[in-house]
Amino acid sequence: MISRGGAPACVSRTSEDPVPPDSNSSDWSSNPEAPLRVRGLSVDYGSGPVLDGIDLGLPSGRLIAVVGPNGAGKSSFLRAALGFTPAQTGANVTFFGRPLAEVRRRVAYMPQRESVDWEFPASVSDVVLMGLYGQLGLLRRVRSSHRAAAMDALERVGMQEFAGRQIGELSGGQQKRVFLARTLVQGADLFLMDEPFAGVDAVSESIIARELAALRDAGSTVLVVHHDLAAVRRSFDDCVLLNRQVWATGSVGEVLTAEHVASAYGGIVPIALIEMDRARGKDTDSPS
Amino acid sequence: MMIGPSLETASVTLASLLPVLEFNTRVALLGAGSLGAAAGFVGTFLVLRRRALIADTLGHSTLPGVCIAFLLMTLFLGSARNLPLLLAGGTLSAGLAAWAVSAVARLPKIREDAALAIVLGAFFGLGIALLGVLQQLETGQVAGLDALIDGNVASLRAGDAEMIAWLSLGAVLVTILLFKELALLAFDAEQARLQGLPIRFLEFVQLVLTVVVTVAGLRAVGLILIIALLVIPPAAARFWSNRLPVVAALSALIGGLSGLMGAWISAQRAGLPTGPLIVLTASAVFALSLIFGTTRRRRRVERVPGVDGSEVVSG
Repeated sequence: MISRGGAPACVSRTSEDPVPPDSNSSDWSSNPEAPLRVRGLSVDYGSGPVLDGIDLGLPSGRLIAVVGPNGAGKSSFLRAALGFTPAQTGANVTFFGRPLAEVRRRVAYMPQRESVDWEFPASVSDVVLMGLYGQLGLLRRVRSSHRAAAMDALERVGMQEFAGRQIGELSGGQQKRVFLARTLVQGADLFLMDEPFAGVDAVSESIIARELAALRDAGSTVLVVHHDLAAVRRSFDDCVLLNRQVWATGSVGEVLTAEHVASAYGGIVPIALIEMDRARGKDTDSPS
Repeated sequence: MMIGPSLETASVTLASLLPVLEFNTRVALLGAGSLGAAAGFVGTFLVLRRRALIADTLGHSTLPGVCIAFLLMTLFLGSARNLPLLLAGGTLSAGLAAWAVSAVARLPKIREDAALAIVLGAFFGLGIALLGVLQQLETGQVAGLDALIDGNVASLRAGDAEMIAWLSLGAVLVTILLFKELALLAFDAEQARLQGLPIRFLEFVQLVLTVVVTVAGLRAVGLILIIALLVIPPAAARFWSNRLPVVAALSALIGGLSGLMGAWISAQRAGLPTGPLIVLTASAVFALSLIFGTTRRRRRVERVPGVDGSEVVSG
């Protein structure tokens, strides 16, 4: 089932598009305890709305991608939900049914690469340890158990050999993995990640995808802003199609149809998606 | 708590180490050295947070407060030779300026750099005007005020040097206590906020630390050049290490040595202003660090695919 999120320009489903039963459909709209639940979220930087009345509730324990064209408000959605970007009045955002301030330990966020000062005098392990500062509390010192946790997180992303390296000396993919490690070390239940796959090499991409799946398998909810629809098809469970409004939510197979994507992307369907649709068409034609 | 004796002990220790120096020189070195170390340490976090220019505005904004304090003291006490009261006046007007910066920056269409420049101009302009008025007054011994503009530790009293040392020590201790919080605030303020760190409290503490160092530095470095002592030592230290604790400690060392060196040179001959000499020393250390520093600050575009041995850089 595809929930429409109240968008007036919502796409309609055609009859030849099969509708699989969706056990999570209620989670998308009405679960008050959802890991992230947003009602009436609008953002306007002064030149028209970037986000316009977003209503969304994330299903629990899923690997979810946020996709949409450039400037669709994907990053703004994460940032406004976390309170970094001021939302218009009337918005209601809850995490696990509570305001963010009450459940900070359960929520972790990985920023875009561009927002980081890579010249900062910090080593790879310093950056990962910073993920624990909130849990440590004021005036408390970093202990060996924290260092062990940081090294463990670095091992998961294959960066333990680089622990002493200054962060500006890493490749783009390695930098992403270090920030993933900082996010992992927080041991949250909801992970919000802004373009963790942007500009990464093949090795980093597969490591990041593996760790995101591991988080989901361990019961966490993972929401990822993503630009590569083919990759979303390959490794994500669910998908939010966003362009100023929510155009479609549901499983990846339901949402990422050529028709949905064409409407949300203003008539342009990424070639990768068309080819995948074609490949999928062949699969369904052949007897299984 | 007895403050005087222990500091006197410190002065005596310094005296036994440097027996050739006269008492006045030792006092000057104590004030300038401790202030330089505090400025280098506190300045490290300001520079990393890209907030160093606030110190320029705060420094210049002390002038009207200092002038008004000078005028009031001349009128009611008959003498304006009380440094703590002058600095209290400077603190008040710097605090007012800090509030004005945040108020102006909140106005529509005004960015923070413009707000800083507007407040600096308004406060420093008022200060210069007041200074002109004071110079017209018969009673105005404005020589004492010159020392706060250019910095002059030659005639620093022992008690005043001790006060500067204690303020510097306090600023360093608070920074050490909040080291990891100030580090995360500088590196990633949003992450700090998300993790529930008390952002507003930390920002306020950092502002207070900056005001303390600025005001304590008026007599040693002067209100115009204090920004340099907050910025140059950390910039120089950055050439020697990629680790924040090392950079901060080195910056304190460079600032402290610059203070000692500048004060010592200015004590050699009458009329040599301390502030410029301290800042010139720090600039020399910066130049040497630039040439001989050990950290290679590679630019991202220079990275070669596969240079790290594990993968190929894409994009």
